[in-house]
Amino acid sequence: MAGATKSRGDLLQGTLDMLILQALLLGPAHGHTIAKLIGQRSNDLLQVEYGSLYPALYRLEDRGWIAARWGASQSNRKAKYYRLTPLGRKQLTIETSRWARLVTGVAHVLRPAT
Amino acid sequence: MKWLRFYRRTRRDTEALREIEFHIEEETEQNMASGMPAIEARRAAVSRFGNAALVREEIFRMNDLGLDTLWQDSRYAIRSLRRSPGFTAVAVGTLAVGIASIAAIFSFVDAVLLKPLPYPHADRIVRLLEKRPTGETAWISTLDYLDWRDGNTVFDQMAVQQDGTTILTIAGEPISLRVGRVSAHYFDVFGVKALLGRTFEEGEDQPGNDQVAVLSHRVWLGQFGADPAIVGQPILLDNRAYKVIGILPPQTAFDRGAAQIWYPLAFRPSNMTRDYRWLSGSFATLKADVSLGQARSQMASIAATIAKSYPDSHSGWGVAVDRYADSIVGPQLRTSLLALMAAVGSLLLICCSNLANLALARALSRSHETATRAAIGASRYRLARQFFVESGILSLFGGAAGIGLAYAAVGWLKTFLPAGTFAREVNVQMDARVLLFAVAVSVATGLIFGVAPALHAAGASLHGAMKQRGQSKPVRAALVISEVAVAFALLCVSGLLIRSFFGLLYVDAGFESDKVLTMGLPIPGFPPGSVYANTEEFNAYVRQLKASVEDVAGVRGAAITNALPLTDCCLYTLSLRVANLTESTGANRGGGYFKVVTPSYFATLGLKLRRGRFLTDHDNAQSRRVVVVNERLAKRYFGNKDPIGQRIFNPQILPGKTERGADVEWEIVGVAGNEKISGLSDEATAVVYASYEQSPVYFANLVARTSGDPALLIEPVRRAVRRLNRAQAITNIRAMDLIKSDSLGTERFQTLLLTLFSAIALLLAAVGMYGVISYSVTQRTFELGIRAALGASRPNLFRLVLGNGFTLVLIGLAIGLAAALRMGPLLQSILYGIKPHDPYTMAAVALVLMVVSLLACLAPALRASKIDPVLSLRAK
Repeated sequence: MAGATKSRGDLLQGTLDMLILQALLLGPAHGHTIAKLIGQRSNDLLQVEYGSLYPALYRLEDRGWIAARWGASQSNRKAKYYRLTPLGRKQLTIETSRWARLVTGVAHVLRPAT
Repeated sequence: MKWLRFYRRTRRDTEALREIEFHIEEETEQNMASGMPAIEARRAAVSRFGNAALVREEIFRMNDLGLDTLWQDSRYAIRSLRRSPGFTAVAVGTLAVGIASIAAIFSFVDAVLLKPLPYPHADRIVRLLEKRPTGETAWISTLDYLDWRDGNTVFDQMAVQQDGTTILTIAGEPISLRVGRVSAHYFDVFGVKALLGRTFEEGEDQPGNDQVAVLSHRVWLGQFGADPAIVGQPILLDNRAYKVIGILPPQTAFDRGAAQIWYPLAFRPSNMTRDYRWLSGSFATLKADVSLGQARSQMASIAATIAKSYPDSHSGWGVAVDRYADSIVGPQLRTSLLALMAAVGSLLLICCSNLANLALARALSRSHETATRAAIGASRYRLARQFFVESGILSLFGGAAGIGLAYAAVGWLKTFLPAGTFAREVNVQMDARVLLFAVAVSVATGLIFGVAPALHAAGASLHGAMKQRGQSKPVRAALVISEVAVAFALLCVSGLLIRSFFGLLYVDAGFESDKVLTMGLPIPGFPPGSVYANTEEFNAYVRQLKASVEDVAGVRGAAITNALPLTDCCLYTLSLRVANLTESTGANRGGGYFKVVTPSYFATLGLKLRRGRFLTDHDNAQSRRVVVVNERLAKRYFGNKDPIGQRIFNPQILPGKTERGADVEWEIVGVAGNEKISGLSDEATAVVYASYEQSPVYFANLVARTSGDPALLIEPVRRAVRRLNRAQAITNIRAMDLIKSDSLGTERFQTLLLTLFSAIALLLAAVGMYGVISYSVTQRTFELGIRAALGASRPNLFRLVLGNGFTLVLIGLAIGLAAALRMGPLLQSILYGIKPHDPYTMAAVALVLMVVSLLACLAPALRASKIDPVLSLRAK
């Protein structure tokens, strides 16, 4: 059933989750802003696939890490605003430290042999 | 939580839609801000977002319980089944037949063997009988029963029963009813309470207190119009007034049993005998902490004490103590039911394998479709599941049809069962248990026959499905082989039963049964005595009865006897001793029956005279006592010696009394051909015939030979009897042919069923074989075409295909033969006059199967031989 989502890879998915949580640390935002934020903060190195972003948002909401509310945007249209929940904040620290460990590990592996 | 969101999916989807729409508008605005024209900006935003529908689907699927894909699969399955109505009809029909057969037979097996008895503490109820030195059981004598009752410490309640008929007189009209004469605690043993009034109380089984009666619901309804006021009122039974004290509840074991009315069995001083075994069974409840083994050992020691005190009549005798539940199902009934269950199980296996074959063929022909589905992204799981869903839906419909069919079948089958085939506790019906079983079987069937095509679908790779066809050949071959094997075994069993049944049907019963009318003429009053003052008066009545029936136009001869042939009823056991021969005690004298007849009996029933003469009207109370014996008795006691003129001793029958008199001497004057006594399979009974004049008994059945159809004489004969004695009740009016055919009721039932099942099995096996061979011909068209092109002649091709099919059949036959040889001995007890390994039956069955499979292979083989090489090669 879930074959299509699985194939996208756990690492990427987990990473995207972490990036979303990190982006929301600055305050509530809607999907489009979140994507823009991640793009800007990575100096346009990371281009978020919208096709992955929205399912990820729903998944995080289902897990209770973020909460959503409909509000008016700057252009005065109805937009869905996401904000970090306390649970999400805790999850972010877990994800961040896991990422740090992963990066360190990978760096060690890639380090030229002495 | 997830299931909650499952129901909110639609709302969520609209939300996602709006959110995506917002995203695209926002992006469009930004694009426009950076200078794009409006239309261009919108297009860029949409294309940058990608496939919105896919995103929505992914969000939607997060809350997928697997239900809607299942729904999709089901709808797809139904569509695809509707596209091939032939396959669907055959599959549903096959399943319906298989499931109906097994559900119907299971309802019998469940009711007879599995369901607990409908009594509280049913597992603690035991039945007690006397046990002969040979190990066979016998009825119980009064004093033995009283010793058992008073000497034991293992039973809570104990009761004894004596069956008989009683004449209920309502407004001067005599009605014969089956009566259970029982101890006061009888109903307590079974835990049965009255619907109205009460059952018997302590002390009501003492002489003087015993004029009370309990009615079955059936009799209350039938004879008293369910009038509640009858409780407390007197009714006339055997010309004595009994007060009705209770009515038993409806639809219970006691409403289905033989007895229709009960009154207390009060022992009078004249009943206090040791050697007259007249009580048909004792029932007791084990104390809570007592095991069956403990009860058996205590009863054995009581029996040993009795045997020590009365060695003449009791040495070697014991007590048979059995759980009541075990005692009501005889070994033959058990064997028959288990054989039937095995048969329907095999039938279902054939159904499954046929369906698997069909479904597999369908799966193969749908390879292209499967491959296409796989190509556009269906997972192997989804593909395999599709086939399971299809077989599941088929078995759902098949199961529903099967259950409906089973309902009808159970009702129909019950009409084939003569009364008394099952114990009164047995209530055969399609209840919740049977339904549950049928549903479970349907589901299991669906899974079993879904496996082969599902495996095929799951294993089909994109590449493979396009290229290789006609796979799974070994599976299909194995299915055909197993079908042939099971069909052979089943046909062997039913072949044996059919031969055994016809053996019984045409066995020499020892008398001529056509154009004979019989009826029971119950004589009221036993026990304690009779309405007749003395035996002379009774014998005068017997003579008048015979004469008045003989006067009826159309009656060619009439006789009275205490026991009709083939009924295994109402006979006096023989306790024979031959004069001047080895000393023998009462305890070990040879068995057999003492039958009382009017001398006209022999001519009326057409018994054959082997030696000497039959009884005559001159053999009366004043002349010397003479008997006719049957051939078997003559052979058993006298071997090759001439039995005529030999003298034998047998205890005198004291009519209306519960005791036997002293030995009296009888002279053998004739030897008659063996009359079947207990049933058509009776091969062992020794019989002595004496006349009413010389050995009166208060039992009478009429036998009348008629010149035409006996049914036409029922009314005239009944009128003649009632004209003679208005108080004479008449029961069980039957033609002798009917008694004969009723006596084969169980055999007929099982033979009919097994024949039906094996015929279905044969048909299914043939269909299966045809399917496989004809499919393989289709698959091999190309190959056969090449063979034809290279010079293979038509007969060559024909033989090739036929040979392939036949190899499978021969392997199946070999396996089936091995199975039949192993199963045969289990059937020994229900076969008559035929060995379980009868080679003729097996050869005949093998021949039938070979012919049928030959026919099944014929059409495809012919088709193969007509293959046009050009056409077949071009088709590829």
